[in-house]
Amino acid sequence: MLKKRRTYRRQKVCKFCLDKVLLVDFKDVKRLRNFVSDRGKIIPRRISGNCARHQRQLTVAIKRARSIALLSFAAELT
Amino acid sequence: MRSYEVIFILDPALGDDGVDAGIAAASGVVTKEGGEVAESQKWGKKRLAYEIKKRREGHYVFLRLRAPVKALTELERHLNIAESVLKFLTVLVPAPRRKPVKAKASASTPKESGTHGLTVGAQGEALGSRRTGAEAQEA
Repeated sequence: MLKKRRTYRRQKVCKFCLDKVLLVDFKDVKRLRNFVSDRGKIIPRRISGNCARHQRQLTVAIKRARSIALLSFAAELT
Repeated sequence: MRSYEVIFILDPALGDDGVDAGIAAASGVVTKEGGEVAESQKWGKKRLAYEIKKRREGHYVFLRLRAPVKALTELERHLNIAESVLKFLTVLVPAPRRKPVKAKASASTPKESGTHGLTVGAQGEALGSRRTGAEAQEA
């Protein structure tokens, strides 16, 4: 049973580590968009597979981007 | 002196002259207080992610500063007062972290407790050296 589950899992790798990002930049909206759901929520580490350090930087970056209207706080009401 | 990044959003109704005037005013405040503007970029008219003061667009201006704390507080005061500024953000750029060498020395010497601790130390070291490399590039 355990073995079977293991075959389903795929190793997730931090995308920032792959690109050797030293500091996640709040101005890099294109990249930040990948880590935000379509409702505007930050995607958890559990799902995105980011490492702890980069996830910490990412949350700060996203919050900064939100505060200058580069990213939205929430999906718009229609 | 510290490094800062400043972004502010100007009223979309302003023309090019208005934007330039806004930039000049802001950098004037900084230089007057003993700071310097290392870089200024105009990102042009961009759509805002949400409405600010009933506007859906704005001229984005980005500044990179080397300035004392006093200059920054003064700049923030100015940006708060200026009517054409819809919103602004100032960010302190963290000072380059030194001492990766020291971390390496402490990690490699006392740890005999197992391979695990050693591998962690090695990773930290690799990260540290990478960081300094990038800083050298920036400078």
